[in-house]
Amino acid sequence: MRALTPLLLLLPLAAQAGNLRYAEDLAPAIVHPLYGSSMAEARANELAFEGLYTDDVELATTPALALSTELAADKLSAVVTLRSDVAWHDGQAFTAADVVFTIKALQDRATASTESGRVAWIKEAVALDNTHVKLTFVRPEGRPEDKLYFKILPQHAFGALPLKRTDAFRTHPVGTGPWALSQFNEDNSITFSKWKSWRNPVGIDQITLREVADKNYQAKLVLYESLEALVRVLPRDLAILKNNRKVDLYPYQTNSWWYLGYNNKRPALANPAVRRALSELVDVDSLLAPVGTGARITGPFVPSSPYYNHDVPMLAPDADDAETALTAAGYAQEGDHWTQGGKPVVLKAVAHQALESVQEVAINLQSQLESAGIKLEVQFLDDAAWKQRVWHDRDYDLMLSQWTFDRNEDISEQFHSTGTRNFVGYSNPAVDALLDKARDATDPFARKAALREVHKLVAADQPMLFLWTLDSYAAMAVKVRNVVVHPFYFFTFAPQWSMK
Amino acid sequence: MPAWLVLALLHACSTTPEESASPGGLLEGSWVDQIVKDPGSLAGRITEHREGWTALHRNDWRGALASGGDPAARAHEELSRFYRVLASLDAEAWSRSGARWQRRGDLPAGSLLPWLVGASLLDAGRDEEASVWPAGPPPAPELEARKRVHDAARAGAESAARLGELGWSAASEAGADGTREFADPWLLRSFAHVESRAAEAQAPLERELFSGVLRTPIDLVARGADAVTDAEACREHVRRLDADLDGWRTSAGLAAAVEGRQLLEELRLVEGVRARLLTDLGVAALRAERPTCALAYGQMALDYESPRATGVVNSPTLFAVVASGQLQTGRTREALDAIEVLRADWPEVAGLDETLSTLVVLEGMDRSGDSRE
Repeated sequence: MRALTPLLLLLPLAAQAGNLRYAEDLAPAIVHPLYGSSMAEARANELAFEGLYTDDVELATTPALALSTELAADKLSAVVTLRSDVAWHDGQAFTAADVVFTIKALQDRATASTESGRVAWIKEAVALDNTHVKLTFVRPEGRPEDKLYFKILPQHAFGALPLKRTDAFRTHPVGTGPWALSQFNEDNSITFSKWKSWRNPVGIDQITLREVADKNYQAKLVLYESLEALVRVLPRDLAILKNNRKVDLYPYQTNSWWYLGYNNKRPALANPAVRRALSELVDVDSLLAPVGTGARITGPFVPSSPYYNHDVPMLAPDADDAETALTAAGYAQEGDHWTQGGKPVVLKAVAHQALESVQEVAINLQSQLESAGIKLEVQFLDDAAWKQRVWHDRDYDLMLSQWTFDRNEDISEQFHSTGTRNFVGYSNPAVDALLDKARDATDPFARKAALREVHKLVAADQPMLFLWTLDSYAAMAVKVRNVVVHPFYFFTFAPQWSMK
Repeated sequence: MPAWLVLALLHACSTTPEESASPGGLLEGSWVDQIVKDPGSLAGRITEHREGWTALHRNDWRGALASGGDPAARAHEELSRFYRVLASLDAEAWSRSGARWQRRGDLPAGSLLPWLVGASLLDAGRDEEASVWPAGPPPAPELEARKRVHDAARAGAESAARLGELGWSAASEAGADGTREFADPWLLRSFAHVESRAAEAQAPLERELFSGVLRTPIDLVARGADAVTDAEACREHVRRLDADLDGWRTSAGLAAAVEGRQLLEELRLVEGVRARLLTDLGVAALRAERPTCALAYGQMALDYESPRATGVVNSPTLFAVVASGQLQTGRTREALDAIEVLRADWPEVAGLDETLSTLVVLEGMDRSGDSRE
């Protein structure tokens, strides 16, 4: 049964003792830290896998699989001492070879991991013995442990490098985390069971990820006690959940913004003036209104970000300006539509079907552009089709999507011309230089200034129409106690949670 | 009418005062209770300075100041507390910035930063911490001039308006790769002094209306064993308070006349008193050095239907409490979310925003970021 009917979903299912059920709009088809691209995958990975270091409840770096790190005097290398009491979910011992294997796998271009940037600073990794790894760096590193958060894979579960997305591991993952993935279920749910050999107490026996594709039902499932947690509550459901005394709300995932990306590699959209004109034909406020409460943005950061440039003006709808720009770019207005080379302008837009409220936004956008004389053909893609069309083939004119960032708000992968997540094909040498400068800066003031300048340049180039950041909250049944939610990975502190 | 409802109503009518005092007991006899039971009394209480009371109701303290009288006196008190919370938050941000620079070991030689960290901590009364930082007269003429204005304002010789004219940036210096601009470390505390002085000079007669004051004072719950359980204890406290308020709302709603019920709903009286009470508890938790508890009270007080605006439920102090709780629990980036709400209406918060945002960058200097679709 691939999709549960709404009626079935509403049936109050008895919660097992110690079973926390949470909803995702789309369940990950695979659980593999090297190929995760969505927040749902990041959350699942957080349950089953660990890095050498992680965040403590005050978000300070604390050892996980590592015990300590000794930095060389020249800061060009370090020796990481590993825990010797860690077992993988299949019972085998965790060793330094696993760490070296993971780093090499990430660095192997043929592995094609979207996470490869997380080890780009490591020149070499060598296992000194079972519990010691020597890392050599590309350039001096002040606190390498702050970058050793990437998840570690078991070497014994794979053959030779490179790794492939299609490896059997994708559906039979083996981690060292507090919960082991025990089953992909027929209803698309995924069950994680407490890993009894985990080094610290774990308060919840089982965690079940339930796919609830229709977001309208998620809040109802919490109210009917068929779920204990929602990772993101629809804005229109906030009031009803807030007034329900069996549920608490927690701010979550605030560094997230929506955008309408232009395919900068398409000749028609390579001209920034044309992109800007299209942006001026869109009334963003009316797109946002049915989605929920939030704030408009002018560039690649949310307004509360240290890097948000408050001097960049909000782009307002301006049909006259758009008309002037499109005409100057060789477009003509014939009757009620725009043409280029005598043919009506038709743009193909894609959107991920799991993006909440995406249909409302896309249809509203379609209506707005058609009123302005531009035909928009919209396709809603499933996860596989999205990755093929957007990530791999870049086969689209416009894409509607969102990005969520952790507290470092590193946008290099999205806006550097060499970024692995630069799906719109944006390229500006000045922006590249500023992003490099920000990365290499040792002075926070310099980094802040560089990225505020990036905001300004990117806003002027309009590789995408920056839309909004939404007010975002998670909901948790009050019977789940001692809840501290990690602002990005959600489940980092879940071992301390308990069920009343 | 269903039989179960008749029975329930009969039961409600036959309960003894002791029994009814338990659910809804907190609001019994409070200003909310008085208004709902006697709607006409509200008009009497706000006859004078009606616009000021209206402003106070929606936590618009500057609007209340403009009206004069009791609303203005109450607004001075609110402002004084608001600035005190912000000033403590500012000092904490300076302290963490200094510690972080020290830990990195690349504190710029000859920078003004160490002196500013010490000045902020001294001003906050954190003398022991301040003692490890440079002290003495301001090391730059612009700082010296600015300090004189602050001293005058605190002595009553300068106004809040004059403080506002100072702007957030106290000093700048050339860095290796650009300019470092530092915020004024005294500004928010000077505002607190000025407002406190005004509040003392003009004590209000009406202290309860649109406040979180109840007939029985509500204290903080006992401290949890650690940060996580302390947050849970305070969340549980709010749940018990909510059960009480819900009980009162139900019984008052049944007993009140139409006008009383209208006031209850249209003025969002229960939501307003609840948020003020939780904000008071949040401030108390901060004073008691219980930041996870303060954050729990603050987050549970927020009006999630309009979380980016002040209004009847969300006061500026509530955002200051949330930001303080976030910072003290290591969530510096999340503290900026709350400060961002204040920044538009409170230009004097810009310096705190800059100090915090630089701290966020500093904390992430050695990290690699993560992003997802």
